[in-house]
Formats: sequence, structure tokens, C-alpha cells
Amino acid sequence: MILEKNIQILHTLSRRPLSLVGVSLFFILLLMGIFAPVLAPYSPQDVNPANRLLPPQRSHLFGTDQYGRDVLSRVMYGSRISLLIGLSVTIFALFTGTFVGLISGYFHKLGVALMRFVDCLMALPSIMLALALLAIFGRGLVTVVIAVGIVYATRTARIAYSLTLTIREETYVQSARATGVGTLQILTKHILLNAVSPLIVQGTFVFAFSILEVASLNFLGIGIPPYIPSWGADMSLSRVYMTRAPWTLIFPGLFIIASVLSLNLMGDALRDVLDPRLKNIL
Amino acid sequence: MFDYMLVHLGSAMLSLLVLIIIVFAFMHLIPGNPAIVMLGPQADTSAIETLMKALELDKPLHIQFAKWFSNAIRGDLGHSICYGKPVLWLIINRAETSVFLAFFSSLMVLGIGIPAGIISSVKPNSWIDQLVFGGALLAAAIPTFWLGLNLMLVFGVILKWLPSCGFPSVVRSGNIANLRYLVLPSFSLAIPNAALLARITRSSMLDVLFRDYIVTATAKGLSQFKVVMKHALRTASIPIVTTAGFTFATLLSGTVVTETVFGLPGVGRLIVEAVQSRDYPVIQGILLVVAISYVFINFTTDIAYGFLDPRVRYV
Repeated sequence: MILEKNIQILHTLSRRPLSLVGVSLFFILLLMGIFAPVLAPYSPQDVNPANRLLPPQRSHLFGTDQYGRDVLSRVMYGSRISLLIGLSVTIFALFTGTFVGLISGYFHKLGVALMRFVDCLMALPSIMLALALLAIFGRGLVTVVIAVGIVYATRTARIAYSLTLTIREETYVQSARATGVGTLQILTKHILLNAVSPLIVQGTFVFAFSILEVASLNFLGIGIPPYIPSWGADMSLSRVYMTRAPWTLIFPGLFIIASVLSLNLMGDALRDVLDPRLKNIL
Repeated sequence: MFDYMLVHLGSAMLSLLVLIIIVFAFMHLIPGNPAIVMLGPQADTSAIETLMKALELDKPLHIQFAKWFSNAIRGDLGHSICYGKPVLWLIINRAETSVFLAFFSSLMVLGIGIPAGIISSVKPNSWIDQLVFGGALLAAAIPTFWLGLNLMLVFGVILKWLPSCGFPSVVRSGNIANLRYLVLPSFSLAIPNAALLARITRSSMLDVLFRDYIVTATAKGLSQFKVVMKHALRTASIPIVTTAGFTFATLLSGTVVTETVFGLPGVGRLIVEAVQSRDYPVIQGILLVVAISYVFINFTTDIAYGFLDPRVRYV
């Protein structure tokens, strides 16, 4: 049954050229990130002052930066870290947000209070909230994931909350309750399983937004530590030389656009396939 | 309508209270002693004690909150550790840039997003619809700082059409021509948000454009312009107003990155500097001001619903 459904989803996706572009682009970036140590022509940390700010050429396809480091290699390693952080943020936001949303939707009184708190956290602009959390917990890979994860967990919680409110009123949930099925089982088996599709769709958008958000934090110099190659931090360094060496700015930016675009295309396609009613909600 | 406004005012006040508590709790989430974190591990004990006294960190939590809250109501948000000046003074001093930037970006978002959405909804699947769809998809994926740097490179450095950096005050100099410094930053901030608004406008207009009363209005001989602008747009306006209100709030967020890219002396850049130097009173003050403006925008959006759709007033 599940296999049949998956084949149907793949079949529908394959008839949409834009979705195919999105999926292919994402997998290319993913493979590039995973196999960066094999594919990258140089080490991302190889400093070579004699080769600084070289324009794109055969030995350096994307040119070199102000330290003579190969831009292509750094972009490849950058995709590794960006996708890893994006995925971690998505997992964190989906788990935390879904948990809070489910609990709030099922237990009414607790839900009203929790959702008011979530709404208030959503009132603070995402990057400012992330900045404030980073100011509290300090810079680092884990803190970036938690700070940006909290920002997107609030949005996920809102969606999980409204889904739970709708699903808990369905007759099959009420009959399960009447037959004495435990709360935990109702929450996981009956409500969560029926809310999975929209949450997966939300996950792809969280993934895309978190890549942009983390790149912005790295650009501001407040994200992950500077010794780890990342698209945002590389562009922040290269802006000083952007008139002399625009390639140091253009290529990392194009990779951010490609990854966000591919995820948005995948999200749009998944939304239309899994639940077309969500088109105006997400 | 009065009851409707009262209910939403109450809800806004409650949100504000919770936000005030969250912003207050912010400094108390810092692991360890906030005074040591701010001054650094090398700071001597007397300096730490002085700062703890100044920030009232040596008092019980409820007294700290009462003091902080009563000070905040009177406009005293504390003193900056780095600048040695009152936080509110710093924010007001930097507010001009951010307010102008958010205002011009909002105008651009509304001026580009709504017409683009309307045009593509009137001619679905035409080349113009495809163009708007493709443009919106691409614009939503472009990092604001990358777009800003490229605009700066092309229009500021290569073509030299517009200034690419800084913003001399309009209020202090009285020179309105200084606003040209904000053209590139506003545009780079507006584009991703305009893309979102265009997509929302298109989908909510498409929901309305094929309804019976629109067909009737067209059959009565009204011009397409009148049908679209007078009959369809008003019905489709609720999601558009929601997104526009939400957009203004995200623009406030966007100023953080844009002001850093273009070297603008605004509140966004102030919070980045404060985070870098762990100037917690400034971070706390900015969060509070932003939270208040967000609650105000939300309240205004809710009131706008009441005017646009009378049914909402009775829900």
C-alpha cells in the first residue's frame, strides 16, 4: 500500500518538469557536499598568497579568493556544512514544533497558554530572535542549529497545532477515544500519522529558509566559527575585494540560490501531490 | 466595530505583556553571571559588582522585573555597556535610517507585489503569469545580502548611478536628496518580500475571479479594470493585508542584514554590534521596541480586517 502510494507520488512528480529540476538540483548539491573531499580539486584551507584573487581559469574553475584559496573547493565544502546545518535545523524544528503543536492542540487549556507563548516568540523577527539566542549561548555549530531551530519550531508548532485541532474532532479519533485507546496512542497513531504529510512539506520550506538564515548569520559574522568554510562567511570576507574579484562573491551566492530554489520547488511539488488544500496555507 | 476593536486591543495588550516577560527573561537565560559574560573573564571583582548593582542583578527576580518594567514604561531602557549612553537614546538616534528603510521597502513591496500578482491572476498561464511566477520563485531564493552586494557593485561602483554606502541624515541636514542613499538598500530588501506578496495576491485573486458575482459584474457591462479593482480585489484583500502586515514585520528583520551590507547607521546594525560586543541592555532594548512595533502592526492589521470584511467583526 505504502509502496503503491510512493510510486504514485514519484509518477506525479516525474510529470512536472520544474519538480524534476528541483529534485535533481538538490541531489547534485547533496552529492557534491557528501563527496566534497573526493571531488574538490584542492583543500578548502590551502592558503597560497602567490595565487590570490586569480580569475576563473582551467586550474581554478571558480577562481581564487584573497588568501589564494580555491573558490570551487570552498563552495563544495560550504555546501556540505550548509546542508548539514539546514537538515539539523529542520529535524530540530520539526520534532520540537510538532511536539508542542500536538500537545497544545490536544490539551485545550495548556494549548491556549502554550500557543500564546509561541505567538509571542513569532512576534520577534526571526533573525533578531536568532541573534539574541546566539548572544546568550555564544557562537558555535550547535548553538546556530538551536537558535535557528527555535525560530522555525514556532512556525512548525503553529501548523501542527491547527492540524491537531482539526484531526482531534474527526470521528475516528472520537471512536478510538470511546473504545478506551490511551492518549499517547491517539496522539501518535491517530493524529500524528494523519498530520505527517503537511509537516513534511513544511520541513522542506524550513530547510530552505534555514539555509538563507544561517548564511545571513554567517555573513554577519555571528554564525558558525570562521575556520569552517561556509557560503555566508566567504561572501562576507570577499565583499572587500568584490570590485577586483567579483567571482568570490558570485559563485557562493549562486550555490545558495540553487539550494534554496531546489528545496522550494521540491516543497511546492510535494505540497501539491500530498495535500493540494495546503496551497494557500503554507 | 467598537467591541471588535476592544477585543483586539485586549488581546494585543496580553501579547505585549507576555513579550515583555520574554524580553526580561532574556538576560536571565545567560549561563552564569551576566555581568561576568559582559565584562569578560579578566574583569576585576569591583567592576563586576558595580555592573551587577547598576543592572540590579543582586536583587530578587520579581523586584528586578518590577524595577525594569517601571523604568521601561518611563522610557528608561538602561545604559549601553559599550557606548555608555542610554539605550533609548541610541535607538532613537539610529531609528531614522531603519524607519525610512522599512517605509521605502514597504512601498516597493506593495508597488511591485500587488500589481504583479493582479496582472498574473487576470491572465493566468500567459507569458506574463509565467514571468511573474518564475521571478517570484527566483526572488524568494536570493539572499538579501547577495542581492544587495550585487546591486551595489553594478549600480554603485560600475555604473555610478546611485550612492552605494552610508546614509547622511535627512532630518538633521534637511536635505531630502539624501534619500537616494536608500534606493539600493530598499530595493534589495523589498524584492524577496514583493515576490511573496505577488504569489499570495495571485492565488487569492484567482480564488475570487471566477465567482458568480464577478461574472455578473462583467455581464452588466462593467469594465475589466473596475471588476478587478473594485469587486475582486476587495474580496481577495484579507490574505493580501495579512501578508502585507507580516511583510512589514519581516522588513524590520531584514534591516539587520541590509544595514550591515550598505553600512547604514540603523537599529539593525546596532543589534549586530551589540551581539558582537555582548552589550545585553542594548539587545534587550531593541527586542522590546521591535516587539512593541510588531504588536502594534498586528493590531492595525486586525482592525483593517474589520473594515475590509464586516463579517469578521461578528466572529
